[in-house]
Amino acid sequence: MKARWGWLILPPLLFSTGLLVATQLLFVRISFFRDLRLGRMDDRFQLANYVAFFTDPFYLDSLRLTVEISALVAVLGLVVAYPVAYVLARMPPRWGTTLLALAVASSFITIVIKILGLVIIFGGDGPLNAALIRIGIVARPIGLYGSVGGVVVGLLLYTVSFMLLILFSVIQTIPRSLEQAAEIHGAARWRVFWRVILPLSLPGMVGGGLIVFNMAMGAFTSAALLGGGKVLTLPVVIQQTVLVETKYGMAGTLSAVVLLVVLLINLLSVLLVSRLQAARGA
Amino acid sequence: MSSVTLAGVTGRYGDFTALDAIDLEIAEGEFLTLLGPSGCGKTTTLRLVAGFLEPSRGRVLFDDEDVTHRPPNRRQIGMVFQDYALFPHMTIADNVGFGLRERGVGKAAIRRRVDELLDLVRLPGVQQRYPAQLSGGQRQRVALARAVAHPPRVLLMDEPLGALDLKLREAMQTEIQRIQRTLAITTVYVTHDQTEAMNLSDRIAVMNQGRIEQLATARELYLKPRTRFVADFVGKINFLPVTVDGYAGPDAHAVGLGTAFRVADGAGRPRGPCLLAVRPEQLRLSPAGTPADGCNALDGRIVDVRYSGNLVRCEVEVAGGTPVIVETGPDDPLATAGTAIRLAWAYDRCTLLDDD
Ligand SMILES: Nc1ncnc2c1ncn2[C@@H]1O[C@H](COP(=O)(O)OP(=O)(O)O)[C@@H](O)[C@H]1O
Ligand SMILES: [Mg+2]
Repeated sequence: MKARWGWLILPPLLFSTGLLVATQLLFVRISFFRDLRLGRMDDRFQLANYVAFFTDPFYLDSLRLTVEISALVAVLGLVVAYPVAYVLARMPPRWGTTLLALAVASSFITIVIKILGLVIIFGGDGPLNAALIRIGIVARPIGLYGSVGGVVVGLLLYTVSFMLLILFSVIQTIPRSLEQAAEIHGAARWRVFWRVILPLSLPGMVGGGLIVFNMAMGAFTSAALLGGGKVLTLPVVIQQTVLVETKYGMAGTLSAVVLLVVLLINLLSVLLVSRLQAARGA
Repeated sequence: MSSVTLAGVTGRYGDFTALDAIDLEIAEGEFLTLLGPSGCGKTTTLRLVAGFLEPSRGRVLFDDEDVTHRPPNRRQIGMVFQDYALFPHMTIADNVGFGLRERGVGKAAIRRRVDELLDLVRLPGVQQRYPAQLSGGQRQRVALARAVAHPPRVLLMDEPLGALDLKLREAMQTEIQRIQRTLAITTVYVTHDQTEAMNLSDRIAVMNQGRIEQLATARELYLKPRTRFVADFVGKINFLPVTVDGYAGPDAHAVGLGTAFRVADGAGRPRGPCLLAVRPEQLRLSPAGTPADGCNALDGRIVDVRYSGNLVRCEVEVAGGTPVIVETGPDDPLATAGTAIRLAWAYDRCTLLDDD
């Protein structure tokens, strides 16, 4: 009866430490050195770049946009993936795992190809707009390319199979007899969901949400390709700072800020969930 | 509390017929047990009563109300699951009060009723604990309290003691019986353990391969099994191959193993081969050559003796090499291996069954 959900928090933690900490340690170091022109750096250890970050609305807006988009992607991912994960988890096992494997396999297709597909579908003369105009929902083609909406859709596509995988494995561990027990003792379908299934899959939702949030915070390709240079999330700004402005110190600072924000949010979530678990005596 | 009627109910999983046109009537307040080997359709029967499965044919009635197509949450059923199915994220109080809350009972009333129920199952003071903090037997009691919280029309229990060890199982049997009698709830109980079934039930339905083989009291099942399957499943029994060759009033005459037998009330059985069934404890050991006055007799030799405390189980080899099991008292002087003996039993302590 003792449900051990604690381990679900580990993947997002390892993900953030592995990918963000280890690979960016170098950038954390250079973030404390001021950029001179043409990629050369001052050799005095100082906080100039951080002062620049927290005083320049351009960077702060970018940070806020990145966090907002990532959170939105995490929430939308949950909403989109949850019903699918539930249906798959409650199917006869052979069907469920086969379909899940297909969904996960599709995540191995590079995001560049998927985005190409998205650009075609959402393009001004693409099938989506054609259909929307034909049934009269919109008069002019709506463009996702170059908009926040487009970036969100791209990030969703990039992360949704991870979300699906995590939710599936959590929902599968909820015994069906719990649903039946709730139902037989008077709960209608939505009450069964609300009082039993949802609370029991909460740790998985937090785990999945964190992984997707982390992925979105660091996602460059979707933001760059679908944003069309107009949606300036931090990964996009970092790329421009390195390649266009050759300000390595500033880029390091930006990376360090992403790292800090991600770690902070992950830690807070872990604390929250473990307090929840402790209260439950599990 | 209601009576329950299954009328010609067929239960299918895809093409597979798990229950074949079952007829079953459970009286108001009755404790009825479905007994049978794994896979015979016991759980399926409960699922049909609960509404988790819709019959592909037939009707389910509570009293005179047709509930065949009513969803489980509106059938007013209480159920104890084999794995208890307590909600791990809720306190014991919330678990027990679940059905009350879903039916809109007020907070204060729920609290009072939960206290009352935990007293009933003799588990006071655990309100604020979580299922993970209780032992198996305690969870079982909580599951029972939850099932009867909002007095159900029918209480269903699917092998509720299956996960407990023997001592606890016996103690819980007593508890279940006490609570069922206190509340006088119509109960359908499922088990594959015949002792449990006999201890608890008013009546027992012995099931085999999606059918009910016999529905009767424990006593009747034991003494008058109607099929070989029932005779074999409920208690131990010996089968002797015989042929019915005549009648004497209500009794039947049969021959087999070089001996003539008489079976009380066997006149309904047609002439021809069948099985004579007799329980091990109905057989008496007597010295070889003892005259068989007024009862059946069969000569043999004891080949094996096993003591099991309150009784001795002897394996007797009779004509034709058939092994016959005899249970006798631990002080029986004849119960030693190698002894030539005569087995004796009363005419009315055996039955004739189809050899199917
Ligand atoms: N969901 C299901 N799908 C297909 N077959 C099932 C399903 N549930 C049970 N069965 C089959 O129906 C028969 C009866 O099952 P069940 O009622 O669970 O037996 P019991 O409870 O007596 O062990 C078994 O042969 C079992 O394999
Ligand atoms: Mg079963």
